[in-house]
Amino acid sequence: MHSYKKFELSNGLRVIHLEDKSRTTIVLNTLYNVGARDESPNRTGFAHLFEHLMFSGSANVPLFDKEVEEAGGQNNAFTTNEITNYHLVMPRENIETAFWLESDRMKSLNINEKSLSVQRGVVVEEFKQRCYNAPFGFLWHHIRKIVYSQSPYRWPTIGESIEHIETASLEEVQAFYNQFYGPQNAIVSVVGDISLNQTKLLCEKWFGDIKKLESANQNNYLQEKKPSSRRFLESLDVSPNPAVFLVWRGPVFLDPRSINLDLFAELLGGSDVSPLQLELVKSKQLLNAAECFYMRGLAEGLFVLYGIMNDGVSHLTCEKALLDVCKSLFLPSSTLKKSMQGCINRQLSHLLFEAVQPMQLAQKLCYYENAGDLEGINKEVSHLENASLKAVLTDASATLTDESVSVIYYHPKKNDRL
Amino acid sequence: MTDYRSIKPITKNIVSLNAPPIEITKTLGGYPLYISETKSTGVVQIELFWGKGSFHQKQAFQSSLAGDLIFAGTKKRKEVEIIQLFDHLGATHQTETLFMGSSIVLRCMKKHFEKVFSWLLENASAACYPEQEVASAILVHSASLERQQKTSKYWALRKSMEKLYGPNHPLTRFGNTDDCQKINSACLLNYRKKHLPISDCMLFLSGDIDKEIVAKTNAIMSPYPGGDFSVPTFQHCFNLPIDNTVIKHKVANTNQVSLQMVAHISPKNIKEKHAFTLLNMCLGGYFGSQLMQVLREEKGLTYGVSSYFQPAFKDFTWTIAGEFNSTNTQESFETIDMIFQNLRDTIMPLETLNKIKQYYAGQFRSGFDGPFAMNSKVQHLLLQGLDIDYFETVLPSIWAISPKDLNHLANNYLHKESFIHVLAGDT
Repeated sequence: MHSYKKFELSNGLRVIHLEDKSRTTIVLNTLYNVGARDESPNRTGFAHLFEHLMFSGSANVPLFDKEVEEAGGQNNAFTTNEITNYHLVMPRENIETAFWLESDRMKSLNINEKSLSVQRGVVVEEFKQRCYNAPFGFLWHHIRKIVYSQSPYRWPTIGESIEHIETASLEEVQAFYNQFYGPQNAIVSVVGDISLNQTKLLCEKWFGDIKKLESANQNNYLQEKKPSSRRFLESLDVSPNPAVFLVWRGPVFLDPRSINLDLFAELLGGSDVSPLQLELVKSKQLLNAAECFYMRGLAEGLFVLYGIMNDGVSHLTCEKALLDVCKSLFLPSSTLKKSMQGCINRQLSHLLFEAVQPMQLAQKLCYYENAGDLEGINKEVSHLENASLKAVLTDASATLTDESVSVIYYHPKKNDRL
Repeated sequence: MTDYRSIKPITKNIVSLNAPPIEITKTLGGYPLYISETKSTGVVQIELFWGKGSFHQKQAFQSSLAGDLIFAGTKKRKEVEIIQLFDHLGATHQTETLFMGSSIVLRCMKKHFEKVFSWLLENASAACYPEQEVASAILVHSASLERQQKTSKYWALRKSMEKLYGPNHPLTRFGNTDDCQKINSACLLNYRKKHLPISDCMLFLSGDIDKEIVAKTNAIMSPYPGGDFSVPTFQHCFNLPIDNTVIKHKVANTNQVSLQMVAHISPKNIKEKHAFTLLNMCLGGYFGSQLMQVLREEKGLTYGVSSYFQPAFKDFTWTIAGEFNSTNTQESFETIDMIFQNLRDTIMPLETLNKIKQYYAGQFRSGFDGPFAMNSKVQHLLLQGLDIDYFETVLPSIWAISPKDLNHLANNYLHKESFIHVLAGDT
């Protein structure tokens, strides 16, 4: 059980505190309820670009990173389709610096043409590095494009195209900040060797005077119907090995069925001797890599199952083999019951290890609060302990259907640039 | 009235580590044993560590596959049976092979410790590398290597290291897909028997460790006579003469260039080693470094560029690496050279050096936090032949380094003529 305490400032900022005296550092994590799904379709990648700009200085902090470093701390951030998360890890004796820095950029970020121009260049290079120059680098572009046609989940966090990033204007940046970067759209967690009283004092001092936004993000998005027939996409890729990716939409983060799909993914491919590995990689040697996972999200989840093929294996054979292995688990058996207990044990063990990693814990506390059920973090163990094989298989077979699958075939690109 | 926000909070310097003393004991059977911070986490990590790594292999991929396939089967049991028991008990395992060391790390809930650890020893000590499992692993490994070989980063690293040390040096055994095919059951078994016998390992226990766990460890280890743990004594190594021509390696279907510069560094003593650490931090060792600030934050030429040291026997390979648009490589080389020159020509302001020291001190100290952090630190001590109290001396030594020390070092080592230059990708 995590003995956190939650309080709220008068401006709507929610703060979660968790004391851990065993550490010499304290984590100050800030989650903003804004992500790629809040972007305009012709300005995709904007939330991520904005994340970069949050390090460009604020009214009283011209050089954000310099101050972090002078205090002996470190920081970073990430953006997803749903949230933007910033963390600062500070030596416990210098924690006030973290409050000063995080609150100053929430209150008065210094947005200017120079930093926008530089960060546009940086993000364009990031786009090239992640997408053009890595095998399957455009995977999330393809997945989102094939699974969604209207919803704002149809583009990846990095952006639909480089042009969207290159043409982002200063006015748009300012408007984005004004709309989303304020106290009632943020959640702060403080984890480490710091008391609740001290945390309250520092929060009041540094975040207390920040003005409210006009309104918090209401998270109203177009709910797109699930596909009712198989969708298909083919693409060329720098990978020398062809591959098949299968994707299904599934239930949201707080829906208990999402835990069941997580467990099904673990059953299917979570071990070196899981059916996916054993049958398709080791025994039949059709594939040289196979994996599956359930990506739990606030508005929806995605179940991804893929295989990278060995020479001479066709896409159709691979797709059929992946589906056959998947479906072969839909019927309960004594072997499966035993495997299920192993999956539960592995996940329980994972939760115990996670509990001694303050940064992960700080991020997770914010995530649960943003999802609307902070106490959910303490229900994870009982959810796992009470999971039943029958429910896991029922939810998996209801979600992973032939009618709702989206399929991507990857073909190796010829060396056309040599 | 002054806005209180304009006055930054006072910060304290991190000047000492104050970590618990490192104590290496022995099991009843004579195995070196290190137990890290005890905490009621309910989980235990068991690590078997050998002072042998890829340096000791006779052919490419031999050491890593011997580690990866350690649970692939014994004469008595198939891989499925071995892994399924780990799986059933919720234990996760991973193997790691470095240049100078190898590990098997197992994590499990405390209540399963005895079963899991016994199972680990029983099967790792009898691993026989069945042909079918080896064949399957080779297919997986070859395909993964093929994918790596489609990236610019891979070739930038490989070409630069081969140019610095020569193609047949222990530091440059990259291997190709045909080398994967040469791996067989016999060569893996030979490697395990010679370099990874249980008797030669050191034990690391971390997490929720109490007297009962230590007693169980002694009991479980008792059938395995041991105490032969040793680490190699490495000498300085030599590099080839530096040729300053920029090596270009074209990689198909890329639209960026991976830039890599490497030099061989042999610090004269510990003080110089610490000074190198700070000079590297200043050059490209963190976000506030000159490479990141100028090439990324001022010019927007790259998403990431950094410099770091890689162990090379008793010495280091100093590496500068980043990804750039192909039209920006000349400007990037010129900027790096300009940064070198500034570090040579200017004595760094004390304030700047103190910022670097403080950042380093913060990261150094936090690296000792948590129940699982200490193992790699102790292994570093052993492999580098450092004193048991070495870590306590680091921060005082770091804070004693002066701007002149760094300037002296920069003048001795930071010249573009000392580095191999490689561009791979869309050249």
